[in-house]
Amino acid sequence: MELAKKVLSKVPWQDRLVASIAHQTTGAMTIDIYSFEEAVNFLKSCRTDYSLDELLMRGSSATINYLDLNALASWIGDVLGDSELSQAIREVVGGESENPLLIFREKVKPVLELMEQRLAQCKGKLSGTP
Amino acid sequence: MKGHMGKILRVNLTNKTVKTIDTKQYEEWVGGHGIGSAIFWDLVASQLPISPYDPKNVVTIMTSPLTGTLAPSTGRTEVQGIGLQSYPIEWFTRGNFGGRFGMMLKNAGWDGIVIEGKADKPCWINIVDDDVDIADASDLWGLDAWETQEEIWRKVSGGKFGKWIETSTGRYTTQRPAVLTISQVGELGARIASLVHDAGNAAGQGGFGGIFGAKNLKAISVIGAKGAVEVADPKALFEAWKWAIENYRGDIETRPSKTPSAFGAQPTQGFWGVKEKNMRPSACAVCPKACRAKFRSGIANESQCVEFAYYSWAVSARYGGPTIELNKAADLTQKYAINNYELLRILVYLRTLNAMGVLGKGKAIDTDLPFDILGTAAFVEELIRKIIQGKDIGLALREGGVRAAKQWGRLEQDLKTGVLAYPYWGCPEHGYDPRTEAEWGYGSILGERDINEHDFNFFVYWYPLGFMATGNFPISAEECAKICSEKLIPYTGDPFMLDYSDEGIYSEHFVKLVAWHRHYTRFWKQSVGFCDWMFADLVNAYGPNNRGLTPDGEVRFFNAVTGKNITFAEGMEIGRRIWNLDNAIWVLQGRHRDVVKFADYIYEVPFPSDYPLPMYIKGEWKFASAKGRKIDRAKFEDFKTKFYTLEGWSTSSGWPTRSTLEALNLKYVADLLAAKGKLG
Repeated sequence: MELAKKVLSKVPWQDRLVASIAHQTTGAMTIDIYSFEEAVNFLKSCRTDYSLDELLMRGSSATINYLDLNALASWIGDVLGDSELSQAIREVVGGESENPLLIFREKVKPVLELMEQRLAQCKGKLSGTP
Repeated sequence: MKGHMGKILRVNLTNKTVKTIDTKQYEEWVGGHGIGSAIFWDLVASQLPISPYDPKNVVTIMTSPLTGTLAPSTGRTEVQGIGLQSYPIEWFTRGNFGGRFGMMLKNAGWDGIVIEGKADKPCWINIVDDDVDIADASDLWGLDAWETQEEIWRKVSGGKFGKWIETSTGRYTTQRPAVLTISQVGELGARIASLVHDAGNAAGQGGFGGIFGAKNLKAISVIGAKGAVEVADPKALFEAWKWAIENYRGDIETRPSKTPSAFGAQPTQGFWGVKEKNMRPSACAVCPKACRAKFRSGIANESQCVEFAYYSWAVSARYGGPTIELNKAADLTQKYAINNYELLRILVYLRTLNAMGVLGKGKAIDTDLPFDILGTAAFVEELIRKIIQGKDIGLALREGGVRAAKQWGRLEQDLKTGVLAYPYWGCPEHGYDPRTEAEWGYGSILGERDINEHDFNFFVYWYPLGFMATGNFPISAEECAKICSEKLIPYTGDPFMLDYSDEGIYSEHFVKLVAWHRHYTRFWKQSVGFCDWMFADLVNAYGPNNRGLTPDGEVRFFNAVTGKNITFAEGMEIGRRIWNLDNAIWVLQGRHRDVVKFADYIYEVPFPSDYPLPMYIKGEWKFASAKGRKIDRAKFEDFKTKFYTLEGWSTSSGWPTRSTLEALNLKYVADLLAAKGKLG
């Protein structure tokens, strides 16, 4: 219960998680994430199936979103206190990479699945439903 | 010059007089920005510095000789004057908008409009061919940008689309007037107010909406039936199109998985909202890209790009992706004619201050903004309501992010940390941080605003990001550098212009890149009118050997329309002349190299994310990241010195010298600067 409350709480500014969204013509902006649910929503909003063709069309609506998945794992463990989920994410991600963008594209779906499961568990715990 | 209609409308709102300027008087400046700067100099320079709110501030709205012809992507109209947005000095600046206004103005027989003075009460300008009336706007004042246009359509063309109206020249048209208007936000003289035309064409930067409001000018309406723009060589114009399509567009149906052409992208690509079933592409006049869309629902018509991006992060945080709230939020910025980039950075700033515990109910910056509904259109609407009513934090926010932060006593600290992402001249950061994409940041700080010019950005920023995201690298950094070295007339033969490494961005090579960019955009885009989403076309996977149609394309279209026979280099020289004239105006406003500096965070805070760029490192070209970079103060000062040297300006002040100005046939500019003690 305590863990569920902590996972679903909003964190203060200094403990925020930083992600980024890049558009072709509006550039890259950092996104501050203040809660686990916001992190889930960020990952949900990341489309990773754009072809190179779609990405590079001039004036394209495609975005390249990015969140350092190892930093996410650390944040979940250190700030939210969910060491089990943190470890599970690290196992999926498999360490640092020379091309973090490509790794993000490959790993975001399995990471999101884990996080959505946890989100449902925590919400269920707080509402008293299994 | 063919393409010109021959006259520019000159309206004095104080005296309520209407005169004409013979376009031939300014033909050497070609059109758009060139003519705007030249007219501004003639009418205002000797009186500088003045406040942007001063009735002596002149606003010019200029087309180009290509506007209204079949030259592709030339539907833009350039707006200039002393703006409200920049800080601490309100620079002479520019904005630009698309749509059909420029074409309609030409069809009415006008090349542009010059607005002087200040009306004693709200008015609007009604142009019907040669007839120009300064009409009472008391029934328009208080309306938003869309309501205003609908009311003017009713007044001028009976309100019914397709109804015939007769103009003063005995001609007939079923067109609705093209209207450029402000909303209530502009009426208040707000610095974040933009000018809007039709559903979603806006001149956002500069705060010209507030300038219109300060002049008691609600809107300009134009309907033209005088006829088409005369083209010198129609056959050459069609052949230029054919050449561009055959060589640079590629087959949309069989497009290989390489970088698509700028010339002929798929329609509605600029629309980033939630698509509906009943939608169709929408384009500015004579543009093959049709980057916008229109919907049966009427929601998000003609909005694109930042009109969604300013709020998409918040909608996604709330809903896990875009929803119809995003489309509604786009509409709010058009309806209320507000600068989207300001809104973007203001929203992020407010959210950050709220998370820090500094802003909110009962906090140091007290506001009842409902952050629990951030991500809904209702949140944006509430914020805009506060701005219009001048209540809560709304009054401060009318002044823009930087001045609001100053009022709250946070400007210095938040510019030091980057919490307030306004890197140059109090203008919001576009997404291409000076610490990374230096040509953008340098061009902005050496000019007067966020440049919003994607000529290099397309392939130095987005290409490598896309390549990395897919693990597919069809074009190398070295090839991009080589192509630029061939195309950047008159600085050909130097591939190191494209070196964005830690050493490269302070080099003599990079100086040339920045100077090329300033001169190219001043002429070929802001004066000739080519749209930023089409030109420049430098690196293009559908062109021969990955090469785009710049520099040949611009010249082909320009010469076909005007009947001139200029070279690309000659156009660049006109651009250099315009750039020098603009600098002279800024000097009269207070420009000196000592004030040309970025916000502190650009020098003090390492850039936090990966940002791949072409770099030449240890004898090898590669796409490498600028993560962790800061701009070195001393090295940037040295860069400025090199830049001023290349431009022929004094290295101690950044002021143009007499020899440079006279070589550009600007002796009269040198004489005035000398009289004011500001010659380099």
